[in-house]
Amino acid sequence: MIKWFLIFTMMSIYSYAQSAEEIAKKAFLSISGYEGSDAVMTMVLKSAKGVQNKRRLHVLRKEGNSGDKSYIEFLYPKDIKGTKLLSYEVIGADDKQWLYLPELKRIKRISSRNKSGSFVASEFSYEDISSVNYKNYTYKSEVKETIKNGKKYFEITRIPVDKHSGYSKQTIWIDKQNYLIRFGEYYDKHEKLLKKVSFTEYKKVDDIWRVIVIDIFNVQNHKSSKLILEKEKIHQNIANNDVSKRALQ
Amino acid sequence: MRIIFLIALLNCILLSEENISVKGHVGIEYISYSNAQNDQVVVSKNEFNYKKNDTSFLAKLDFFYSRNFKEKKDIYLNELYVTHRSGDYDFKLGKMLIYWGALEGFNVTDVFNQKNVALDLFDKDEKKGSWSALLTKYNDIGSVELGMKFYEPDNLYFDEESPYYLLPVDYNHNLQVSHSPFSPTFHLKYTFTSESILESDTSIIIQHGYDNKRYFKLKSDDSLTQYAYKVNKILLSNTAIYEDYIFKFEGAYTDVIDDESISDYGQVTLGLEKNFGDIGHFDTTLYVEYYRYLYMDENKIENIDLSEIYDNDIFLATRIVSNDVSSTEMKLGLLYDLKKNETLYKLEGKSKISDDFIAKLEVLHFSHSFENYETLSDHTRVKLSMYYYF
Repeated sequence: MIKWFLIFTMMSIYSYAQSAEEIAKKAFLSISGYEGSDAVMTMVLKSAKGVQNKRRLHVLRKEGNSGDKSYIEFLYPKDIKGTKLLSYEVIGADDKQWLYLPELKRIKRISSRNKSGSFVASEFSYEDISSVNYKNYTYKSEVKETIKNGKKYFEITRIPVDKHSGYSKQTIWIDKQNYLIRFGEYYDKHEKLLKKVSFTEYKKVDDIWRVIVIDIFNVQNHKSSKLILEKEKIHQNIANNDVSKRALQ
Repeated sequence: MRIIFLIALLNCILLSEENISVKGHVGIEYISYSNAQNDQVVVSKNEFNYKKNDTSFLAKLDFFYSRNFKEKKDIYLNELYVTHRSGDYDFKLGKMLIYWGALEGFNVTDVFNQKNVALDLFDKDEKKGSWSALLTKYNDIGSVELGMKFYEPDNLYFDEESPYYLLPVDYNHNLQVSHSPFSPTFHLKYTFTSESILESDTSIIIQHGYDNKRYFKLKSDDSLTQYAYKVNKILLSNTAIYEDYIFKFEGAYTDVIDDESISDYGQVTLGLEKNFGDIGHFDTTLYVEYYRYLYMDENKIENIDLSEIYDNDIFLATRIVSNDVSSTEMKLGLLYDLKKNETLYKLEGKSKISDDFIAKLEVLHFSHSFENYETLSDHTRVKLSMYYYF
């Protein structure tokens, strides 16, 4: 009994000793280290009336110390097949983005300042997709331990560093066992709840957790979107050319 | 119509091949003109891609069948080229389309290909593929490209019944040239991305060969034909980002080297793009652009080309996209000539009927004061289209 009491006490001290940022860093590290990723994703959009629409994307990501580089090619729907988006993440500032429109055969520089804008007409904004690095946020000091559906979570509140973020704050729930983000509530600039996010399914590949399904529900317009990782290869040697303007043409 | 079925059959056969991808659309357009007979056009645009290792082939085959106008009864193999990648180098050979500009309304730097006026006088991107070779070397900040265009093709023009037939006499589509039509046109392009003052993308292009502009010459049989002359040209295209504003500049200076009747000329275009984000569930972007021609010798011929209607003009446009499953998009633009009070209004809308079917609407109104083009009267054009994408 004394032994269990001591273990419980030590665990409690350990968890309280961790700051919100440390927990967020562990959450980030649990999904990092993939170096290069080659994936196909499906996005299912659902209107408030339940009408569904699909997007299919080929995504290359290359991890970098100063931010990730990503290349997204649209495979479906057919009218935008071949449209490509190149993004260079800049932590805490505006990313650099270029869009290739196959019908016009032009590469367009686009502004990423509007981070709250819809990503391919879904309820995901561009920052929902790209801002996974814990350094993109500051953290409120309080770390709550909560129980949802019988499981224990760290509940922390993070504030986007970028003043142009579409969010005033985000509350996230991180699984105490494996440091995976499971739920999130994102608040708009007026501090009203805007979106509820569930990271529904993860899969461990080569000791790295990869998120397989993300559900997002916009509580203000009642639309929802689901992002499904159909297949992914990690530790891929993604060349600089594969995530450059050359790849867009 | 048999051609449509043949193209569809070809698509089906090619779709079953693993290394080949096929995409495109087939549709019907209903066009109403306020100053000419209405028209119906069957359209099919097809792109075939084959890729193996570092080599890829691309072919684009477009088919038009107009009920009334012969210039739209045609098949265009508009692109057919091979690309080979080797290390930092790309090599392209074949018939291709190349766009260098970034402005929305008009691009003075898009000089590589001739405009296909026969398809749509008011669509700046409707161009004819050119037989060419390109060698591009990429580095960390951009690329250097050396290109050669082999040939200047004849230019088709409008049916005399078309509302866009501008000429007072017959048109002869055989192009006249100052040298051989096989005399090549060369270009050297340097492209780089910079972050030194503002984040920007810049292209500098030097070109020697035939000008993209043409002027009309009277032949001995009293028909008019287009005439191509040689130039040296320098082009600059720049896009810079400051906060959520995108500034665009395109400029050109053309030194006419073998035609005494044409003045050297400069072109300057400025543009500003601003995205306002979500306004009432619509993603809204505003575009403002200005175009200007500068003629170096007032005693020589000016306004030799239809593209020069973009002189001292201001372009205002907005693009509104709904963030919903129908991906409804609307573009509204106004081109206004500050000197002559000419106006062109254009509204374009599209919406998905289902994943594969898209409906489009275009309304265009043009009023002008052309002294030389009396046949192109003020008019309104309404186009309703339905396309199936595959």
